[in-house]
Amino acid sequence: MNNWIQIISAFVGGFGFAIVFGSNKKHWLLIAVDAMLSWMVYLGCCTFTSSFFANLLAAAFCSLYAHIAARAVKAPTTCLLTPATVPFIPGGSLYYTVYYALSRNGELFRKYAIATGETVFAVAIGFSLIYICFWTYERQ
Amino acid sequence: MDRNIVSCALDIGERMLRTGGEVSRVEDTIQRILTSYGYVSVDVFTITSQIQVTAVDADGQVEHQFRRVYQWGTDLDELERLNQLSRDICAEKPEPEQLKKRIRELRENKPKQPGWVAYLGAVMAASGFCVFFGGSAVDALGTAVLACAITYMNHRSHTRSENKLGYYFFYSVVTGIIGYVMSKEGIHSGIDLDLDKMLIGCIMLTIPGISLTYAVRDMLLGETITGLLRFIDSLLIAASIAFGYMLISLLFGG
Repeated sequence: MNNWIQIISAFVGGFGFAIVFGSNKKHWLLIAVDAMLSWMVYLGCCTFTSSFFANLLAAAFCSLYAHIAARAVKAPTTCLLTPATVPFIPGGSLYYTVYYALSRNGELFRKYAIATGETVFAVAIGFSLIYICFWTYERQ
Repeated sequence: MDRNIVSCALDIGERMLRTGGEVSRVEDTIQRILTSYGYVSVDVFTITSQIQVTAVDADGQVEHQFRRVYQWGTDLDELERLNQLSRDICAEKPEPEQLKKRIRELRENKPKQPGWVAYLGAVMAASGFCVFFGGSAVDALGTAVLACAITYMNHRSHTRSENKLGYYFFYSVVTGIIGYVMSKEGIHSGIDLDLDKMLIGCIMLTIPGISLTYAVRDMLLGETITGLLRFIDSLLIAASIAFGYMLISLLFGG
């Protein structure tokens, strides 16, 4: 039940961010579906691997979907990718990291800093892998 | 070769950077436009705050221009239209005057949306993520109020372009106060509002999580300076947001 709530709210949140970031309204649904499917990939991957690799694989899926959809609708990949990434972007943990650093709570700062760093690197690696694949393919 | 062409290519590159385009896209676009106009050698260097171009035409004349970019944000529709414009320019190679006109028209003919759409987007984004992080339906309604307050400030405030950190601090203080008052009033009226869940939903609207992730991605892809600039910028914004909420927490004992 909890997972389904997260999946639906990832769709709603992705749709909302598509509007907030000023995307073309023709892409709103595509973006929301990307956010929702990517979160499903994350939840699915969490059943057999660590959170780091689940984030990496979900980010790679999100980026792959955005690259393919962008070519189909003839738009820059960033326009579809940026709002769809929000479900696995460590917004909350980044906030808590800085909050606990400012309030000099070393233990919680370390906990959230590690979580933020791990997620940021996993997602960035996932994006980079797909970017490199497409870049190499298109240069050939 | 008309030096206005280099200036127009820089105008497009600058707008792309300011609307959320990647550094590599900006460099690639400027390079393609200038090459299509017959420049035989084009070097472009871009970081988030500046663009430099050196272009050599067939007669060996060197054109060097520099553009300082003071602020950047996200407007993905304009980025998409700029991308299409740059493709059209490469294919059609319009005269410099025509080129300037088309760039001006792109900005002036921006598709207008009713004001409520921005509020709807912010409410969907913030409330959606409030529920995503475990908030209840009532918390999502509280987050919707905060999201509307942020959207209102975004539309009204001019401070954002003048001092970004000050703006984020100000917005977190305002939303912190509204959130605190709502949660206290909720307790008096028997409505259980979780302040933490409400704030985490609305923080998602402004915390630079995407920027931080893109910073690391840029570094992994070899754009080290851009990545570092974005990284530091993201941490400073996150710190000013956290400092604002911390101040409210200290003042009201949250």
